[in-house]
Amino acid sequence: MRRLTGIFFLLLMMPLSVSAELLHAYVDRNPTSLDAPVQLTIHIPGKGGSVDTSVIKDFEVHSRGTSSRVEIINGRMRQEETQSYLLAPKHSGRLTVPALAVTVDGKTYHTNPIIVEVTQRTEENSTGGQDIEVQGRVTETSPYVGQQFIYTFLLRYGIEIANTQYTPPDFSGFTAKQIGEQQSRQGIVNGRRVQEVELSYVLIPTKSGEVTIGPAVLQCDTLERQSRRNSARDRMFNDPFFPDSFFGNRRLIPRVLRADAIALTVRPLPLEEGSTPFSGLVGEFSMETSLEKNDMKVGDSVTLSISINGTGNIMDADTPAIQVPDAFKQYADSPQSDIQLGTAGYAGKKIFRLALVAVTPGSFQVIPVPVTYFDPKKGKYCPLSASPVSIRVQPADTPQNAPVDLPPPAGNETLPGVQKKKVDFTGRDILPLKTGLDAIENRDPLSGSLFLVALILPALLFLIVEVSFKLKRKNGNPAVIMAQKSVSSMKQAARALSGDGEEFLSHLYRALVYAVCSRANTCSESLTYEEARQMLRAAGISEENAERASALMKEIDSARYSGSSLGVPVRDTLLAETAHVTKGVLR
Amino acid sequence: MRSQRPRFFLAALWLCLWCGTFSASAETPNGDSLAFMEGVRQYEAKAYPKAIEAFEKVLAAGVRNGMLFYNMGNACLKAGDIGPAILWYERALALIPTDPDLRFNLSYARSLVKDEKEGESSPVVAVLFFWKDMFRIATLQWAGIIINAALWLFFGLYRFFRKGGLLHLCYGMLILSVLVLGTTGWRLYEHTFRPQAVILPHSVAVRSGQASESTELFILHAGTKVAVKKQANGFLKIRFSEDKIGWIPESVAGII
Repeated sequence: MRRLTGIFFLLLMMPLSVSAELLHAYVDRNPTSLDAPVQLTIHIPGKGGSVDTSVIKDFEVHSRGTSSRVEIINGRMRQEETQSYLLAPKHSGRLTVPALAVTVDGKTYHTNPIIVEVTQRTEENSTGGQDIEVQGRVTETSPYVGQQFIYTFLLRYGIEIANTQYTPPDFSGFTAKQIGEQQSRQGIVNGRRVQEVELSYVLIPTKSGEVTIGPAVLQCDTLERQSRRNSARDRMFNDPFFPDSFFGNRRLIPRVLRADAIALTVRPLPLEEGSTPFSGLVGEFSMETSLEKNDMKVGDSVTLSISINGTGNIMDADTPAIQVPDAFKQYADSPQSDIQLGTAGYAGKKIFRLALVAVTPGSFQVIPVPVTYFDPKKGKYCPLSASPVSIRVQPADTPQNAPVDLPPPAGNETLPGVQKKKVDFTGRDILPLKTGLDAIENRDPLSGSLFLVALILPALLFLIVEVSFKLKRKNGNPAVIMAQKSVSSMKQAARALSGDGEEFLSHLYRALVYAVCSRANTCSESLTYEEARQMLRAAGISEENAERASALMKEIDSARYSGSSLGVPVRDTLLAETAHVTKGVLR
Repeated sequence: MRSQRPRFFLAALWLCLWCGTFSASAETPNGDSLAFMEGVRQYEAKAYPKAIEAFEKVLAAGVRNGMLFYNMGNACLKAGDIGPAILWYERALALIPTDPDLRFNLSYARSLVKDEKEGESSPVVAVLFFWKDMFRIATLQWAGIIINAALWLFFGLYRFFRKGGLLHLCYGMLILSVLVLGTTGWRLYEHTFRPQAVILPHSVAVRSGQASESTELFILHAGTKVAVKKQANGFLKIRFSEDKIGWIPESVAGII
C-alpha cells in the first residue's frame, strides 16, 4: 500500500518537472523608443527559479514582480511562475536582451536572446510637446569647493500617471541634503495646463575638478488611450453612452524617464593672501560681539557673545579666537546654532558664549581675533571680524578685594559647555633615552642554579636547625645522660669483675645511682638509700622494686666499706643482680 | 618540669640564620659609564650610528640592563633599523616589562612593521594568567625566593611554638609560593626552551629547507617576531603562525 502511494505521488510530481522547451521569455513591444521601456516576461514552468539579469547591459532593469499559477486539467497539475522586468533602453539601435540563465532546482536553463529595435524619442514625447518630462538643473555650474548650491529635479506632466518611483541622482563628490518635501504646482506650457512637481537638494562640493551629477530616474505608469478604434467592439464602446473611463478603453504604459546628467566644474579655493587665518567658511558671513554689561566688579561674571551670521556652511564655524586679558578667567559655553535649510541653502547664525570672571580691577578690551571667509560671489577672501568690547572692572565690595580663584572642577566633572574629546595623536615619535647611570648596572635574572640554591637554602637551614634541636634536646636531657652513665658504669664493673674489689663495687654502686637519677630525670653522683627509694617511687616505680634497688645499694655499700674481700662467684651474683635492677629502673 | 630556654634559643638562632641568608645585596657590576654617556651625547646630537657604537661597547662589557636595551632600541629606530630596534625593545621588555616609555616606543616601532601579526596567543590563557608577563623574571625569582624563605621561616617558628596563626601563615605562603614559583618556572621555560627571534633585514625569504635552492615559502619583513622551533647548521626553523613555518639563516634574525 505504501509503495502504491509513493508511485501515485511520483506520478503527480512528474508534470511539474521543468522542460527547457516550456521556458520562454518575450517583450511586450518591439520596436520601441528611448523613452518607452519594454516589459520582459519570463515564464518558468514548475515552482519557479532565479533569473540572472546581470548580463543585460543595454537596458536598465527594474523588477516588476513575480506571479505564479497552478492549473489542474484532466487530473494533470501544471504550475508556472512568471517574472516581469521593465527594461529601459540606454541608447537607440538594435539592443539585445541576451540569453538569461534561469536556475531551477539546481539546474540551469537559458532563455532565447531577444533583439529590440530602439528608435529615438517619439515625436509626441519630444521636448515642447511631450505629455511628461523630467529635468534636472543646478543654480551653479562651476561652484567652489565648500560653496553651497541647489539641485532641482522637476517633473512636468499633462497626462495621468501612477505608480511613480523616484531614484535620486548620484551625488558622489558632494554632501547633499534634500530641502523639505516635494513642491507641487500647476503651470501653463505652450498654452497647455500641466502639473509640476519639484524636489530640491542643497549640494556642497567636497573636492575640486570635473564632477558629474548622475541622472535622476523616474519610473511610472502613464494612462494612455488605446489605438484600436476599428474593431466592432471599439466602435460600440466609442459611443457616447459608453464612455472610455467606465469601460477601460485605456491602459497603463510603463515609462522610465531620466533627467539629463549635469557636468560641473568644481573650482578649488584660491590661495590665501595675507596673514589672517581662514575660518573654513564659504558663503556670506558677518560677525558680531555683544557683552551683557561693560562695568563690573572683581568677582562678577559677564557673558560675551560672538555671533556669526550668514549663508553657507555656517554649521562648520568653529569657536572664534578671542584675546581675553589675564585679568579675567574665561569659561566657554557650548555654541548655540540657529540654522535653517531653505531654498537658498543653509542660512542662520551660530552663537558662541564665553563667561568672563573678573579677577583684577582695571579697564580692559576683549578683542575677537579676525579671520577670513571665502565669498564665492566675489571670488575672494573677505575679513570676518567684530569690533572689540571694553570692560571696566571695579574693585570688589569685599574688604579683601582679593582676586577670585575659582576651584577647578573636581574629578571628571566639566564646566557646562566644555565638551570632552578623544585625544588623537597629532604627531608620532618615540620617547627619549634613559640617561641615568643605573642603565649600566647588571640586571640579569639569577642563573638557574643560583635560583635553585636560593630556594633550597631555607629548607636546608630548617632541617639543620631541626636536627640540631633534636640533638640538643637529646644531649641535654639528664635522664639520657644518667642512663648512659649507668650503662657505662655497668660495663666498667664487668671489666673489674676479677680485679680490685673496691673498684668493682664502686662501679656497681654508681651504675645504680645513675639509673635511679635517670629515672628521676635529674643529675647526681650519690644518693642515700632513702633518697633513692623516694625518687623511684616518685618516678612511678613500684614499692617493691624501689625497696629492692634501695636494698641493693645498701648491700653494695656495706661490702665496699666492710673491708671483706668478695669471691668471684659473689661478685658475679652482685653484678647480675645490679644489672637486673638497673635494667628495670631504666626501662 | 621542662625548661623553655632551649626552645627560645633555637628560635632566635633560626631567625638569625634566616636573616643572614638574605642579607647579601645584589651585585653591581662595573660598567663603562664613559661609553654610555658618549652614546647618550651622540644620540642627542642625532649621530645615531655613533650612539649605537657607544652603547655596543657597554653591552660588550656584559651589561644586561633593560634601560640600556631600550636606549639601543631608540638609537636603532632613529637610525632607521627597525629590525634591530624591535629586537632590543623586545629584549628590554623581558627585563623591564612595565616601563611605560618602553611600551610606548615598542608600540610605535611595531606600527612600522609591514607583516600583519597572525596566530595571537589564546585569549583565555591571557585572561587567566594575566600577571604572567607583568613582572620581569628577576623580580619573579626574588619574589619566589623571599616567599619561599618566609614559608620555611613560618614553618620553623610553628615547629617551635605550635601556634595556629603561624600555621595559617604557612598555608598562605604555600599558596603564594606555588603561584609565584609556578609563574617563574613558566617564564624560565619559555625563555630557555621556547625562544623567539626578530627579523633583522628589510625582507627575508623563508624557505622550505636549509639549502639556498629550497622553495621560497613566504617573505617576512624587518621587525617581525617569530618563534624559533629549531637551531641547526647555522639556520633557524621558525614559525610565524600556525601555517607558516620555514627555515631562515641565523644571521638574519636576532634571538630575543
